[in-house]
Amino acid sequence: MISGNNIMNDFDVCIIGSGAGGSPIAKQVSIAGYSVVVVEKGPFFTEKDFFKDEIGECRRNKYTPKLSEEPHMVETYDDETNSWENTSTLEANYDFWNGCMVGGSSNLMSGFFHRMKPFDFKLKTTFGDIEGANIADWPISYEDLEPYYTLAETEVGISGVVVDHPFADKRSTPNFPYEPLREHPLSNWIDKAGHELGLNPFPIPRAILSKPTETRSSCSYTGFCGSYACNTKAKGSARVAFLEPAIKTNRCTIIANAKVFKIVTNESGKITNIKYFDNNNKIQSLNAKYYVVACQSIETSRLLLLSKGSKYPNGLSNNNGLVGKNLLFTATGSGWGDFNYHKIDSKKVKELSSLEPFINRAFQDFYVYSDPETKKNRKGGTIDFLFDHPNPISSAISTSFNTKDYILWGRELKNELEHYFKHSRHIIFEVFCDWMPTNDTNVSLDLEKKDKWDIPVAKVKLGNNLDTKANLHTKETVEYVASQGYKILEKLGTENSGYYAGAHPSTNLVAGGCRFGLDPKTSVLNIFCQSHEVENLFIADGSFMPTGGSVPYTWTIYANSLRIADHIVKRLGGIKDKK
Amino acid sequence: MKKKSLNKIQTTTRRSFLVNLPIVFSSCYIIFSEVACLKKPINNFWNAKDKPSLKTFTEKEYNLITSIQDRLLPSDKDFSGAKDVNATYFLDLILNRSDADKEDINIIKQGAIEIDLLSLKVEQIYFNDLSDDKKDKILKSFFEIGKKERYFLRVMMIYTLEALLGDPIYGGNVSESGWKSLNHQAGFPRPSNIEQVLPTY
Repeated sequence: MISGNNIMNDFDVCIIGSGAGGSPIAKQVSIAGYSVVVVEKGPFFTEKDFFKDEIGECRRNKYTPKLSEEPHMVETYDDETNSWENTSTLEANYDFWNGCMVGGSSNLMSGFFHRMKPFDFKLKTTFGDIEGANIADWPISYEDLEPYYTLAETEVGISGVVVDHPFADKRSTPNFPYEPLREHPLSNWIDKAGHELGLNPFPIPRAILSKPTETRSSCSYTGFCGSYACNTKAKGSARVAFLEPAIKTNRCTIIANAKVFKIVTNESGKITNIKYFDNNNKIQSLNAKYYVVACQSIETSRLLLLSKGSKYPNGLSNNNGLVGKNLLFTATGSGWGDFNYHKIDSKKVKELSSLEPFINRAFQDFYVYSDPETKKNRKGGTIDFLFDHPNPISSAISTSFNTKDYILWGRELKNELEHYFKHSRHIIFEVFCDWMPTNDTNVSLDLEKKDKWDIPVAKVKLGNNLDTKANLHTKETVEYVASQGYKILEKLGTENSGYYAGAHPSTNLVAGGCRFGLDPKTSVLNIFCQSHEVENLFIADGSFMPTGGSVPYTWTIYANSLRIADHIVKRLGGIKDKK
Repeated sequence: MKKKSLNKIQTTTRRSFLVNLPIVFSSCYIIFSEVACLKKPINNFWNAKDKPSLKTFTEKEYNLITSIQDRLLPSDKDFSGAKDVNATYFLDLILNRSDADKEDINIIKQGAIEIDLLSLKVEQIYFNDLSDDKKDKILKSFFEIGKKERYFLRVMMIYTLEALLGDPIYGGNVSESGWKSLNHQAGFPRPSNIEQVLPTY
């Protein structure tokens, strides 16, 4: 990593953002023999910086900036005043930062990986329009992306086992390159319960190594995966899976603590250089043949909108006014249930008490379901079962606050804490459904608010609580899928069970904003995620997605980034050097 | 400045709100009670006098907050309470960090003062001088006053539970007694010195 004025210019590729979208390109391009620079806003943390520190890693801003210095604005509709209200994320209790560091938020992911299904690529054709939603088919098919889903299995290190079920993925290889991780006995309970309900549970593929490689250790089974960075390199973060090999080629330069604030274009509309604030807040510049933006959807749209030029008065690649539009989240739901040790036999208590951290069970029986009213096929979602988050502080706080009396304290609280931690075990499920892209959820530049560099911040408009058919469709879908998850909990015999189907925006699963497509009038990018308007611009994070599927996005982003990398290497002249 | 909705408060964040609190008694609030010196393990800082230099609180604030936290999470033989895990010592340190929510300092200090004033009003003696049962009654009455008071209790509870279950490097969870009380298996590796957990931003 270098900084200051000692930076070589004239790179072949400049990548802005070092997460799941940018890093695969860094590796593939540098391995092919070309020079790459990766410019990352956050610090370059490595394994020596990571601890299973309940307070520092999860409850303070170790990996994300202070909202007082780098806020976003959130525009939401207030039913009481019948108007849109614009509030800073500092006050609105949102946080769209997920991990500002080399490797991005992939360092902190739980690594539950699912592929999209073939019909997810043709959502509009398969399931039709929803009034008020801007659903669009992808301009590529599952078959175009499948080889890269498979490549990601090896490159990222995805462990799992192929199990047949009604919506099992079509694969070009018979099985995963890494066997599935060890499981908790509860996984068998879920299998039994699922089969008794006539369902098809299957092990969730995980972006976690189950055996070591030459450069990475396998999982150490601490169970502290989500929100924590991995010390063994078992987790397939963009940093260990792609940037470390890229750096070893000696053709990849990482510039950390570098805030890119403008992409500069010339009069013919080509990008000539980028400008960024370095670690000392001095403005630096560098240039390349091709530029890849991968800052996660909100910040990618923001950077493009900030990068006006004579050819792009509305922002880079925004002459059609589509940058920032059709922002996607994941329509999420959740469920929970407890096993009370006092009410089950000792054999089951012993099984439940096992310290194995992973359940890794999913259901996609409701990925498509028969609409109870119309009897037509309707797109549903995925249900993932897992243990509640391992951070004991969060669990203790929830125990204190999750009461009709607002707060428990004193001996009453201590009794509940003892029961929670010592005499019961808790499982949850997460639901993933399609988020409907609409005109009311988008990214723009705020007219007033600026960050600590005095740069206008992004404003995220959230129209998910409007009374529209698109939103109703989403809520009904999440409600249906979550209710099916609840039935599985009932079959398992959990207590204090419940589910939530609010379909609120998932701030850690964001996509869209620069959708790709065949028509430059209705899309920002072409099928290779190259800007229709700007010849040397690619966008490689989840911004390209017109729809997201009913799954977490990361595997798809990794796969698509590998696909874009192939195209960029071809444009550069093909593979030069296989070292 | 718009008043924030309390409905938006999440359990893992601490957000302040407007406290239009006329501290009418502040000019009279100059005499604090002395906390009796209890027998305690040598590495427990129940009394501010035993503690290395305070970072956030005055001695009297510290002792008052110790009493409050002790009632929020009292000590038991097999289950550490706030005093056992040095919850106030933890609080004094954690609020002095650059990543601390500085509004929480005001909330905590003002809330503690209000509890002491309530104790004077109801029992005619300071909160620290009350029996445990009477302290609990004062806290219950405080809770019933209104939203602001309930929010203060939540803020205090969050920090108290962080002291109970966070890494001892931050000053709480003495000898990992909080984890042991709840049979919690912490993950590895752990930070080994305070420099490793200094704020990033």
